Amino acid sequence: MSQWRFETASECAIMIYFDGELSVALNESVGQLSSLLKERLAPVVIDLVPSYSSILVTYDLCKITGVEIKKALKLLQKEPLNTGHSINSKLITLPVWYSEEVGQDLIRVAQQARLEVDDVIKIHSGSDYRAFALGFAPGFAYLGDVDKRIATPRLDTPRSYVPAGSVAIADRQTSVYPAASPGGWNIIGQCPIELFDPAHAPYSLIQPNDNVRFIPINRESFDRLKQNPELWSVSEGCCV
Amino acid sequence: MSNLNVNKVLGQVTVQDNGRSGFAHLGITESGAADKWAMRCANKLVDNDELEPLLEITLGGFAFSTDCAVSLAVTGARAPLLLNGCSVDQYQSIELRKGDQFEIKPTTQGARVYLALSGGIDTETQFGSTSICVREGLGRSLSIGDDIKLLQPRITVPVTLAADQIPQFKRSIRLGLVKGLQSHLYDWQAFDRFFKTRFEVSPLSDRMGCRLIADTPIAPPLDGIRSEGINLGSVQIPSDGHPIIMLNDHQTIGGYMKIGSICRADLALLAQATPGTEVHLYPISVEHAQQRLLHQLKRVPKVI
Repeated sequence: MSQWRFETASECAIMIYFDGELSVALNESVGQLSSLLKERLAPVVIDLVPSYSSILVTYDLCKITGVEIKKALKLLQKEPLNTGHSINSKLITLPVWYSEEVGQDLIRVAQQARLEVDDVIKIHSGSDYRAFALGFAPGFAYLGDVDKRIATPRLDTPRSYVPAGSVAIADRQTSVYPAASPGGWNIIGQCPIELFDPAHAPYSLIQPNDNVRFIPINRESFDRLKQNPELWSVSEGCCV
Repeated sequence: MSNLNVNKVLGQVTVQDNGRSGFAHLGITESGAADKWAMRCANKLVDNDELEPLLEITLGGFAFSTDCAVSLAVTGARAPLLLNGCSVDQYQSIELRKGDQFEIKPTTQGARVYLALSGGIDTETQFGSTSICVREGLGRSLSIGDDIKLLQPRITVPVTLAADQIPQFKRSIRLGLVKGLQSHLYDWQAFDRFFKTRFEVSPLSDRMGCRLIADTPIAPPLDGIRSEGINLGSVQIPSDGHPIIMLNDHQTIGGYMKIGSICRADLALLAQATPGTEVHLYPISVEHAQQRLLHQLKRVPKVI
């Protein structure tokens, strides 16, 4: 059973932390505790945001006091987490056009890593990444872990505009921006596939626990897929 | 079906309500009116449910006419109002007849104006709310030529908001900070400096976050943390030391350090602050912040 603790985040939010080295098992515990919290505290909880090794709990002060919710969490700390249920996981393959034309930080990432641009691409597309969390923006998946050799810190000042589809790195995390938004990650390429569809459940292509693989494509394929994203099969990892 | 026809739009105009909940785990933010008190007052003045969807108009500059008679009210930031070219007051119900021209001029104090129409407007509900979040692709902001359907337009009893309930908008504001999360990573002297620093609202602020420019930036002890959930009011400190305070369209997860959270009772002050407004932070206990929030939620708009 994983140990967890909680802290004040605001006058109506509490942050739960799982201590220890980040691992798949730790991240799975986050999912299990989220299910338990949903089951037990649903009437007073406004939102739950599970992440790598934490859960943000926003609660309704009109329904429960700060003291009462802390008491309820202390009781839950004594319960074992249900490790029994199986966790759904699928492999999602995404095409990426790695280029300085759409990846304005690609050259700087290579320079900082003292590598050739081609090596950065090879390394980034060379491993599968686990979706540790979903957030920041609808359908934005936090994928890890990026190879240490190309890990690059966030920008000192976030950009006000990052285009939709941007594939980016921040430290040992990587992701694809599903829609245009502000952002502070290093952009290395662009993906032409839609990641979020508000009209159809489960809305987000990538779900927590999924694995994601990036396949380098050239400009021609990128342009073609941008026009006809349905040509790409995310489960097959190629054009159908 | 009756319509409101938009003739002029200067800034961002969006439909907002009390916001959405229950979808933050997918990355969908809460949205909702940035100044909830202004929303509730506007709706109350025209006898709507206090949380009825209404229009949030950033920096004013919005003109329209309707093809039916309807009562409306304009609250929030100060902006001159013109009914067929004649000046009328905010914070009261106003009777519009079919074909009347109504204009909300650019704001003179404050940033966000709220326009409620009696009987409500017909808007799309997505993920449990009608609030538009442009960044998330949930609806779009209004533009010239748009028609908004009025659900049950009606004329209500003329009323005015009690004078003591009309907020003042100042060029210098103080915001209560509930310490938390990574605040312990600063030593107390460094932390104390936050409360002595003069900040200014940056023009790069929007509904997602309010960026503050510090007179003397205080660099964070860590450039980034393992990304975690982030709440309304959270104060992020990126490496440049200039804080970003999360407003209603905030991201749900973030990886910059946080020194705590601005108490919700003070957030409307921030949402109404225009670029250049001077900002100071002061420490507030969790308990006091909770009392103030409850007091604000239970306060009832008084119309006379």
